Amino acid sequence: MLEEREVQNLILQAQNGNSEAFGQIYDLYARQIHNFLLGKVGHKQVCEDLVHTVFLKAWTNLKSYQPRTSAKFSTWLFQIANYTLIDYWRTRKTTTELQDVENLMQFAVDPKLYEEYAYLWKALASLPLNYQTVLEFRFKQDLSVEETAQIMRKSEVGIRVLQHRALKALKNKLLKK
Amino acid sequence: MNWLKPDKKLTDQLKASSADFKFDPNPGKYRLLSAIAHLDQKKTSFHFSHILKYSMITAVSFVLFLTGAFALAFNSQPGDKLFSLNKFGENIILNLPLTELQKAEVQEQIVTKRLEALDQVQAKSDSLQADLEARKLETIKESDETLTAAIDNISKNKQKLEASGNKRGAEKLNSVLERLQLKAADREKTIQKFEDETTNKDSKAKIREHLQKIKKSREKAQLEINRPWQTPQVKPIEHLETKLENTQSVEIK
Repeated sequence: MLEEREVQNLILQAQNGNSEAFGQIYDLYARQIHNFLLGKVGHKQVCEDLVHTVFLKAWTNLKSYQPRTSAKFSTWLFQIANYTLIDYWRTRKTTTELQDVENLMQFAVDPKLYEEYAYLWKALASLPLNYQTVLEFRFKQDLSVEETAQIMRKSEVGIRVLQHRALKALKNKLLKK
Repeated sequence: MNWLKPDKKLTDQLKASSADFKFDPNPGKYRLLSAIAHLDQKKTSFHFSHILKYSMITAVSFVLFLTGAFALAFNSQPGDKLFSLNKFGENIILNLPLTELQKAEVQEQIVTKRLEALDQVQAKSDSLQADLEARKLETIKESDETLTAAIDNISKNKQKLEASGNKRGAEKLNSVLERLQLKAADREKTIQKFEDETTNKDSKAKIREHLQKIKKSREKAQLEINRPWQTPQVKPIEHLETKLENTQSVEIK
């Protein structure tokens, strides 16, 4: 993984219209974004389309990105991904077709691990979207409270409260099962 | 804040479950690069730095406008639109931490400006007075000439009507002459007032001359009104025009 300084250099080139530099940025972050989105939408093709949309949005709005010491470029990308996901949930059909749900185990790098924690994935998927998102960022993507707050555009206290409620809701779901 | 501390066991499970999914970046990258080849980046959005820049421009423009307004107001005199701004500026200067001597000098300057303004007002007033007098004289002259011409014409027409035996028409013209005579009598007072107010001797003489003419025209109208009705057979009165006299005398013959 490149250092943030090198990443910023690539961004600067991409901001000047260098698509090859943007290709390198894609190589660096596409997997993370893909992991985040596939766990949420549960459909490989939809997830790939969403990843494509996220990077298209990033390219289009790249000139408005301003590097800050408190936020990494990945935070900005996750912010776009999160809002793309919210848009997707808002505009998708209200009923889910059978072919829209796939067994994600087939796409897992370690299927055994996925099977082991399948109960957790299912319980997570039944939570409200903002609960899923905060748990995803905080524990699966291992982002700080500050970064999560920036991605979800909430205060740090707000994120702590949301995280507490999400964990409580998840615990209740698991206890019921 | 203990309730905010995450459940360790559950968070450990969440961390442990973070399995990666298989991902081949190449097809997605190829698709993306093909798409962005035809897609322009948006121009930089409006940031705080821009707001600051535009605020600075606005502030500088405002300061320049104020400076310009004060510069324009500096020479304004009492009664001018910008005089209040001038006075405001003078008050600001007087409230500056100046020495007593400097303040006195400033006050002296202000007083000098006011006194000079007084001279200018007087000069302006004299020029205005002269304009007004010329205008008055012109109006009196026009009134006199119009009245004289009107009374002459109406009198002639009345005599024509009388000669043709149109008594009703002649009576109507008589009433017009009467109204004109009354109006002229009424305005004579105003013209007399103008004459009294005028200090310029030439103007005074001219006004008096016009006033006399107006009086004569009025008397002429009065005479015409009082003149007894003349039947068409009777010889035309002396003051009718020669042409009319000839025409009428031919008709009578």
